[in-house]
Amino acid sequence: MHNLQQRLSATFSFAVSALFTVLGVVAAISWVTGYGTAATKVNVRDIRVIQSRYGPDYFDYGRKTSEFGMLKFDIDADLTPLFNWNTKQVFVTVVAEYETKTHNKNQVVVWDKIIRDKDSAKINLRKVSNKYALIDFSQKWRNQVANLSVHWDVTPHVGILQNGRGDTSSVKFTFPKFESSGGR
Amino acid sequence: MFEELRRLNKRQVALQVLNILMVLTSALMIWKGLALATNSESPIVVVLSGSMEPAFHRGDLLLLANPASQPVQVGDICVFQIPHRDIPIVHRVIKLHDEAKTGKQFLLTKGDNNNVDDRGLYNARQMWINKEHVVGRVRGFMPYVGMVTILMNDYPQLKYVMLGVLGLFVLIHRE
Repeated sequence: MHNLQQRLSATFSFAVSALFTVLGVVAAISWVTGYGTAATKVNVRDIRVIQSRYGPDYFDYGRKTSEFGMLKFDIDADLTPLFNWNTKQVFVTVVAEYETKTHNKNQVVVWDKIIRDKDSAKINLRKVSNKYALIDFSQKWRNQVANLSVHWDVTPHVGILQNGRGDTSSVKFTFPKFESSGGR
Repeated sequence: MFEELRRLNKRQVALQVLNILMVLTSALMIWKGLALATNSESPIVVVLSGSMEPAFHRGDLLLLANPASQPVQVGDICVFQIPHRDIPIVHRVIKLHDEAKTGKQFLLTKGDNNNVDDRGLYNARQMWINKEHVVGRVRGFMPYVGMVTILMNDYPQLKYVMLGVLGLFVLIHRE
């Protein structure tokens, strides 16, 4: 009536459907409950503009007059609320956002960090320099006003990725116009 | 097993073949239906490299969506394909410039586990990728499940063995 092959196949298919049901329930719970929000604060210490052909990433931008922002900022963030039983990692970024005439939305990540456990989820850093090139699409900064804020992206052990940003953390700053130091 | 196969008459064989076709076409329908719902030509992908570790490892399964009404945001993990390259890449967007006049998006990506951004992976002198290169944005994550397809790609014989065994089972399995 029931041979070994049928029993094995029935057991296997039941195990697989049970496993995927559990994974689905886990994903659904985390999607409904969410990950809460983190308390974040950034503070701009200093912003300068320099001209160079190569960025901090050693990428060749083609002209000697390409302008890079040199930013110094403080970060205070407590990301512990984002950690629960279904948090694999939190990816934190500090993002500069601004609008220009030709490009209505510009977002440039200036700093990022991977956080894997609750113990390292409190960040207090002073005078951090931008990790990535802070250069506009036009490769020029003309008294540009920009906003600095903290964003995060939660990767679960299983389920839906969720992201958020600290709205209260955003701070305005202005790129100065480049002035060559060699007076003629 | 083979005795059973011999005992089947023509009608039963035809029924089993139809059953196999049913299974294949429903799988295709589900895949294409998902593609329509998510607006992504390939809504499920398997991670092939370690460039997004520790978030994604080789063999993890990713669910993608690419809603046309939602522009790409900085921090989104995108699956994109450079023209004339076979293998799509899963990396995070670190720079984004939206052109006001055309709405065209200029994106720069980087793997979390890489030291430098992806300009070295793009075509020569290519500085940006655009939304048309983006196959989808990662929405869901499931570990290990994609290992099966990686094994089948690494050992193609395994694929034929599995297909053969499955086909034989369907053929001789009778309710």
